[in-house]
Amino acid sequence: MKRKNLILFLLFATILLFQSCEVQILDDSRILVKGNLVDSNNNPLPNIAVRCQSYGEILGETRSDANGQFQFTSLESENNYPLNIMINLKSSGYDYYVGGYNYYELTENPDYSAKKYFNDAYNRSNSSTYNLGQIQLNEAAHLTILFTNIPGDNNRVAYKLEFQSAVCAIDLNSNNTEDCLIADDYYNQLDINSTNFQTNLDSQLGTTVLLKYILNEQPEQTISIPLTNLENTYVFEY
Amino acid sequence: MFLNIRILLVALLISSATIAQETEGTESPETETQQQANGPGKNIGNIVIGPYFPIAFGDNFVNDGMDLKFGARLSFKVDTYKGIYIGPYFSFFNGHVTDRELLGNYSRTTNFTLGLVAGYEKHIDKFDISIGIGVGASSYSNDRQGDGFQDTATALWLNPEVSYRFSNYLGFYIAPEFRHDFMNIDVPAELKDTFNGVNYLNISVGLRINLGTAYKYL
Repeated sequence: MKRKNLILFLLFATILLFQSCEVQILDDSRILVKGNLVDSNNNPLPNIAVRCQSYGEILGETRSDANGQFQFTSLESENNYPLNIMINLKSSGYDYYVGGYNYYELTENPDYSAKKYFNDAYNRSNSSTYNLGQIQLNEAAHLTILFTNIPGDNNRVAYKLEFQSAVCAIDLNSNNTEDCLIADDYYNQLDINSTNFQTNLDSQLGTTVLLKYILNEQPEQTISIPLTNLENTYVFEY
Repeated sequence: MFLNIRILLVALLISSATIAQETEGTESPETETQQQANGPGKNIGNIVIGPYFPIAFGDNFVNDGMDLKFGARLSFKVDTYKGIYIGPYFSFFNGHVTDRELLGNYSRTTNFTLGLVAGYEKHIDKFDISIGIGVGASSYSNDRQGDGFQDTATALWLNPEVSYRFSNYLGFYIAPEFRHDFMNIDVPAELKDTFNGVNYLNISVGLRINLGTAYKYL
């Protein structure tokens, strides 16, 4: 009997879990999303994906035209679901929303950075026009850092990376500028037993990555790594 | 939407009352026989049922962004006084979304319309010719990968109809329908021209069932 109750409980819990993930679409409502895309040299960016979505469910989408312009009609989710407008971001299933940043998103066109506009207000107005204006997508830059443990040295190093993410988040409910530095901080502890180690990150061309490290509990040191190429490599020996 | 439902309920009530009056008015067999022998008989009304071919036109979201498929139409017209009729009406049709940038990200819709028709009918030899207007609640039940949502409207239509009787109680009808759906979709100003309303010229053909003895003498 107890086993039967347990099975029933698990069944209902599963149903409730899936139920809670389904986005409810607002009846009798549409929104309009428009803007235009340029690169860092102010040239129009064609064929970039723009999507309106909520919890990974696409409510409307298009691609920028030859002039970099886009305009599309989207469905509207119920106001208790966040509304996100993703520029050059892959749809990534259920996006776990933490402070406007999503670890699961990657740029769709890897040559350019991406932006995520979000509106998680419970009282947002429906039937709105989201005119995003001119949006600049910088060229994306990739950095590979090789941590090389020199044989025979008994060192320990703790490090952290700070950089402009390839994905910037913009709150549609505030006038704050875009925030690209929220996350993508790494922290790792390497010691004598660590073998060679490699980490990769996606950032924006022309920006600088800060590698902050503490070697053997000495004061923190900072190395600036400018991203001057689309592909960059830095070797850190300890 | 609530207004539509109220209109519909009133319409159904009137229709039911009309039918009830017709039933209550049934005379004794002797009187009926006498009446039949003398001429006009009793015209209760007719039922028309058949496929329904929707054709949208103009600058609106259905015409610009959907591929419409046929549906069906059912109407019960109750004769009230000297050819004037009134009765309930139901139709449905399907549509596939072809322009998601214009409409939003969903794949298909089914339109249901439930309303009331009223008009005038004239009988010429074996032809029954009528003109009527209708009003009702129109609902676009939209589907997107399992979940759905609705767009609603108030529908108003003009409905000429010609039918040919091949027996006393059965006929074939053809009915064009000029219809406008006043949409309730809440949109920003830039989209109002597209989502405010939809124009249709719908065609329906099918079977007409005549009710009552009057058709014997027409």
